[in-house]
Amino acid sequence: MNLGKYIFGVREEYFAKISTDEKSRQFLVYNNLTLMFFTLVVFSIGSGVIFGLMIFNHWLIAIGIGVFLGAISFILLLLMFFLNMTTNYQDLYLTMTEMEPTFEEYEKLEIENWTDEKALIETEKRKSLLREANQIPNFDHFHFSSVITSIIKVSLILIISCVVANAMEFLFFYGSINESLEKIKSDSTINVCAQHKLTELNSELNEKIVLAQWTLEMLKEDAEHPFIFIKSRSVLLTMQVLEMSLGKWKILLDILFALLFLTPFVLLKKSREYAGGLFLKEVALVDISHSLMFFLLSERERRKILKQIRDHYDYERLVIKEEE
Amino acid sequence: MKRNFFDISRWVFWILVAIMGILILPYFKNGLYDENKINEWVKNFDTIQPVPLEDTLIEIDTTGLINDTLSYAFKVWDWHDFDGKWHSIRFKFPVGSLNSSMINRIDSYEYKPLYEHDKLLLRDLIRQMKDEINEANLDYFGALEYVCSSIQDIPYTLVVPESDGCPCEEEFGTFSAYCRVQSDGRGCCEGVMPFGVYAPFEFVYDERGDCDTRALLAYTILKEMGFDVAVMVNKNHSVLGVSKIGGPNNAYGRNAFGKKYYLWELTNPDWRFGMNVSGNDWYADLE
Repeated sequence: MNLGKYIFGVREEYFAKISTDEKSRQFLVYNNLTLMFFTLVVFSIGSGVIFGLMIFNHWLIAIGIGVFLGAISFILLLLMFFLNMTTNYQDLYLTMTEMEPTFEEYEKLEIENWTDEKALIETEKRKSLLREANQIPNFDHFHFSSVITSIIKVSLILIISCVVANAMEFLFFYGSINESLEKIKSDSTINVCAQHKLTELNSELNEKIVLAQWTLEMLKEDAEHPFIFIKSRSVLLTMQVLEMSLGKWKILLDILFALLFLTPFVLLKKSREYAGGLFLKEVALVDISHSLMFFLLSERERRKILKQIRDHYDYERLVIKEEE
Repeated sequence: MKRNFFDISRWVFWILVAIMGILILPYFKNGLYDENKINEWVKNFDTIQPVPLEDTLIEIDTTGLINDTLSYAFKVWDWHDFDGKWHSIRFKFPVGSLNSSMINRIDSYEYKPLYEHDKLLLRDLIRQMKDEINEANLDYFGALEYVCSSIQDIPYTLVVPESDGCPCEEEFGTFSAYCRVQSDGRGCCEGVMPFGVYAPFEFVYDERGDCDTRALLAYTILKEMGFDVAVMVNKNHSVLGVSKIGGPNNAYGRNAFGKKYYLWELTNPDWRFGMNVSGNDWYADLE
């Protein structure tokens, strides 16, 4: 199954000139990347649903938030992935980004009489030459700005991973969290504290009283709208309970989620299967050949039209001369 | 080598996903979640806090140097709590405290001066009790029981102001003429002026006291710890009043503004909070 087609456009025709082994390998790496991408998006959708349930305590709104967060993650991750998908075939990279020197070679040739087939043959010849001349990927187009963009990209990924990590931890431990919240709700110490009257001079005690009252208020369940997921109306309180109860394990889980989100990013950035892979090379070649082909066709037509104008009109009179 | 990085990263990713998948299952994560951490956090809401004390045990000389010039004596305060656990606290008090407490008591005609004077003499005892409460991580009610059990464990001794008040026959029993601690709770002390109550320090020192002496000591200790308590009285009895913790079936009295205090009988170790205390004329005499 070619999953890479749906996200990265990995189509069969790009691999016409590539050995079967290489082709399978490229399918494998892009299938994997696509699966990773979908997995992360599913995690994001799940997180949105979890936060939606915690904040609004309503399934439909939660699903809406899940879809919304999933869509944001989809776009952001896609952007991150595509921004990192640059071919490491130096000449192809340079040719693709600056085609003018290639076009100049055809200025002195009489291409106005070329047929479409001739233009296509020329393009394919050029493509084959470029393919042959670029056998080994050699990346040296580093720029300082890429450090800054990398920092921004990593930061964005970490923000998403942080949101997802917290939501997933709520999901993993929601049974235990609810037990802890019930325990807090029925705890005599906190109930007695909440019933205290505020004092005039003891601000420390007042803080405890206000916090106890707030805590119990957040745990009060509305009989008409019972809690669906976590038995608390406060995300912050739930987060505090989670943090306290998990301790260092929470940091470990957060790191694991960050690793999960960063793995495809690093993979794209560092693995030669992508930047030095044959798919991106072929895509670059196709891009170049398309540009060249359409340059040749448009240049041929331009010259034909110019000739017709010269034949039928006083071209010299139509042209505004510079000295005038 | 170029393929290794991809393969390793791929496995890292899917192993992480598998770990997350396993964590969704209701097993394998008991070791990660520590429910006891909540107990520590709830302790922050404990209203027992140190009340700033006037430091009379330290004298400041004219040179500005601080000298602890008073000498101290020691007393052991020990008891079995309601669970039968043995507690023993050795606390210090300034030499002459007993005399000072007695003189203050004779000059006082209500509970408040007794409390104000003796809370300073009992400072070390209260501090050590609070330390034990904190070490044992007792909750609000546990701390109340800890303090009250130390008083209830002491046998009852009737205290009367009349000089010929003992022996006597009361509606709740017969009392001998001996003003000393008796295991059967039949001791009787007479001539305790001005209104038949020992000061808190005297009670701790001699371990002799009846209802109001006990209620006053409990009030002194608990008030200094930050509890909302009162000495509750009616026409012929006195108990401790505790605000906030009672339920609809608990006996209670009120202060002049209608605030409820739930009643805790302290005269013997069999009484526990929540047991019925008869009478509906209870009011807060000291709060």
